[in-house]
Order: sequence, then structure tokens, then C-alpha cells
Amino acid sequence: MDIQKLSEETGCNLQAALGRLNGMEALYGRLLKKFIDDPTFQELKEAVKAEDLKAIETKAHTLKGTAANLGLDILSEKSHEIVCAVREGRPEETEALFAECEARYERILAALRRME
Amino acid sequence: MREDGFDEEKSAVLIVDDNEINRMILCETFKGRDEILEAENGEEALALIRRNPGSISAVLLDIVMPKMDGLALLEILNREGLTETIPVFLITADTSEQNMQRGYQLGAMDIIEKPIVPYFVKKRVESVVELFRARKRLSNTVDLQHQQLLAQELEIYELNNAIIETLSTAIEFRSGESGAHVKRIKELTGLFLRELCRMNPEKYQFEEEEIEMISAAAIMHDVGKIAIPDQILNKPGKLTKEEFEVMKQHTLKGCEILQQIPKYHANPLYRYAYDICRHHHERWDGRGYPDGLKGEETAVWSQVVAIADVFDALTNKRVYKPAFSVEKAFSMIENGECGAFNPDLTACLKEIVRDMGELPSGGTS
Repeated sequence: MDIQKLSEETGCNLQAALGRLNGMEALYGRLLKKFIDDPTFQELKEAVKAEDLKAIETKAHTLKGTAANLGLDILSEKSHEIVCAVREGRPEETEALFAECEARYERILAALRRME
Repeated sequence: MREDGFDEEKSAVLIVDDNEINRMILCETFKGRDEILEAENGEEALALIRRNPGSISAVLLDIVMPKMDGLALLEILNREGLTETIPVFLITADTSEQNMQRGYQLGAMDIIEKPIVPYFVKKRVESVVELFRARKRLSNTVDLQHQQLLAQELEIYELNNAIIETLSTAIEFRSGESGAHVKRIKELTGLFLRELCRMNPEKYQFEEEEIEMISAAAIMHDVGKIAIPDQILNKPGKLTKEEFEVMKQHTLKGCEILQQIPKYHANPLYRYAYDICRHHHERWDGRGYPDGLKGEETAVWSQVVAIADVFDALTNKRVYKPAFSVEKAFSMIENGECGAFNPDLTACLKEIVRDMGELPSGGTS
């Protein structure tokens, strides 16, 4: 696994995450691969479509945590913004924010799929 | 189990998070040392905890979860006192001050932010787990020592009683009484007090502990006889007026002796003993000694020892008389032939005598 390359492709600082895992590359690789199948993003998408604010807040929050744990910082940051938008009474912004979130998510997933 | 009662049972770390990846990271962190339990939400976690609370050494708890979120679970654990024995760590991406405050209020040991640094989480959790274990060991040790102290206390109490009994018996020997007399007075005192409480609970209320104490104190009622010269104490015939005055002194002499006992004032047993010593020859009609107390001016316990003493003298052999039967002794007392007593007490005696008569000796009761 080429952390440097993966970081560039995803736009995330994966080195830091690997550091938190005490440099256990094999484990980190397994976790990243697992993220491909993680259902949270899909659930967030559905919540946005359904305009279910409570679900949006919950799913975005969960996504933020998981992404942060894996070092996918651009994704966790955007999720955080969605959570704030709901909590601070700016629900009209969620759609736009989600669009940005989706773009980042797709980018990351593409890179992860290409991973050996 | 070890001496301090610490059970080295296998302990488990419970990881609660609805997201599989998050659980995986935490599992990886605690792998190897302990067993790992997982739950997807508060409800599942609660079930696992309830099943065997003693086996869980720590709970790692996410906040945002479906069905029952972390704070709701924490609230339940707090309410049931479980947060005192199982350390709970909140692990969350949401570290708003509000949440953190609530978490600590509800008894969380620590609040850990995502993204987690597994090594740090492990250290933080381990140090708290060790703290809880040490506390439990200490508590077990304290419990054990407490039990040992209680056992010692009991031994001392029994030793005390034995000494009192032995010394009182020694004094009674001089006047030809026996160790059995002392024991009988103790027993009779207990019987009378319990019967009083039974017959007339509004008027007489004694705790069992008190009854035991008074019975022990009753043993010393004639301690003062040690100060009475032999020729008077053991005169076979009737005493002259002067001799009787000397004899009467044994009540006051007994009090003097008791007052010499160190810590006398601090110990309720000796206060009963003093009263009994002084007043066990008072009479219901006020013609007793040394103070001529009348009726209920004399404390109940002293009245009891008075009647017990007379009853025992009547029902046992003496140089100048045979032992009377309990029924005869009772009727003599009831007829006022042997002093004047509280009618409540003569009523008690009637019951006691009846019970004695019904004591099975091979026959039916």
C-alpha cells in the first residue's frame, strides 16, 4: 500500500491516521477497504433525499466520526459542516453541502477501489 | 479467590458503536488482553451488561446510535449505580461542551474524541480499570477486616461476661450460695423482662440487647456482701436489729464497689448494676431499704431482681428450710408473705411458673 500516493489521490493526510494506528499498515489497509462497503454515506444520501433533518444530522455525525477515525479528513470536515448546518438552523444549506460531500466521497472511493 | 476476595475472573471490554469500522478499530486496540464484547446500540449493550455485570471491566460507548443512544444508556447505568463499579468511557465525534458536561454528570469516567488514537485510548482505559480494581480490592480487604473486628469484639464481650460471672460467684460463695444461684438470677431476670414485654407491651419495652445487659448486671446484685462480716452473713438464726442494719449495708457497699470500676460511668451495664445493687431490697409498699422507694419509684429492673432473688431463695434448699415447689413459692409471694411486689411482676411470675410446670419431662406439654 502506497500511503503517499493514496494521500494524493484522496486529498487526505493518511499518514497521520497510520501513525495513530502505530504504523500498522496491514490493519489500516483492511479498514480502508472495509470503508468501501460502509453503508453510512448511502444512508445519509437517502436522508437528504427524504429531507429528514433528524436523520441527516445523525448520519452526517456518524460519517464524520468514521471518516475521522480513518484519516479521511476532507470527508469528515464536510460531514461536520452538514451537522452544523442542521443544528444551527440552516437546513436549506444541507443540499448544497451534501453535493460537495458526495464529490469528495466519490473521489475517495475511487482511490480506495484502485488500492491493491 | 484470593485473600482480599479479589476474583481473577476473565474480564471483558464492551464496545458499543453502531458503525462496524469504529468497532473494528476499538477491537483492534484491545485485542489480546481481554475478551471483547460488541454491541450496536444502547439496548444491546444494556442486555450484555445486565447478563453479567461483574465480568465487564470497561464500557466504550459511542453517543450517536439508533434505538438507545449512548447518553440514554449512561443514564440508566448511572441510575442503577453501575457507573460506580464499571468504568464507562464515552467515545464520540461530538465533543460539544454540553454533551461533555452531561456525560461527566452521568458518571462517565472519561470522554474520548474521535478520531481516536488507539494507543492513548488503551492507556486511558487501562489506568482507570486498574483504579477500579484497586478500589474493589481495598473494599474487600476492609470488609474482611471489619468482620475480623466484629469477631474480636464478640470475644471480648463474652470474656467480660465470664469475668463478671466468676467474680460474683466468688462473692456469693461466702454466704453459702453457689455459682448456680448466680446463673439462675441471670436467667430469671431475663424471663421476667421478656414476660413483662409480652404481657404489657405498651408499658414495658425492652430491646433484646438491653435485656441481655440487664441480666448480666443482675449477677452483681449482692457484690456488697463481701463487706459484711462473716458472723452476720452466715448467722444461722434470726438477726438482731443491729445485725440487720449492718446487713442492709450490703446494698450501699455494693454501689461503692461498682463505682470503683474504671470507665464505670461510660458503660450502661454498670449503671444498671449500680441501680440493681442499691435497690433490689426496696419494696412496692415503700418499706424496703436503703432508700424506702415506693411503687414505681424503683426502676423496673431492680424490682425484677428483687422478686427473682426471693423466688430463687424460696425454691432452693437452705440451712434453715427445704426447697419449696415453684407453685408454693408463687402462692407465698402472691399472699405477700415474702415482701411486697408490683402486681405486674406477680402476674409475670404466675406465667413463668405455669411455663415451668409445663416443661416436658417425658410427658406431654
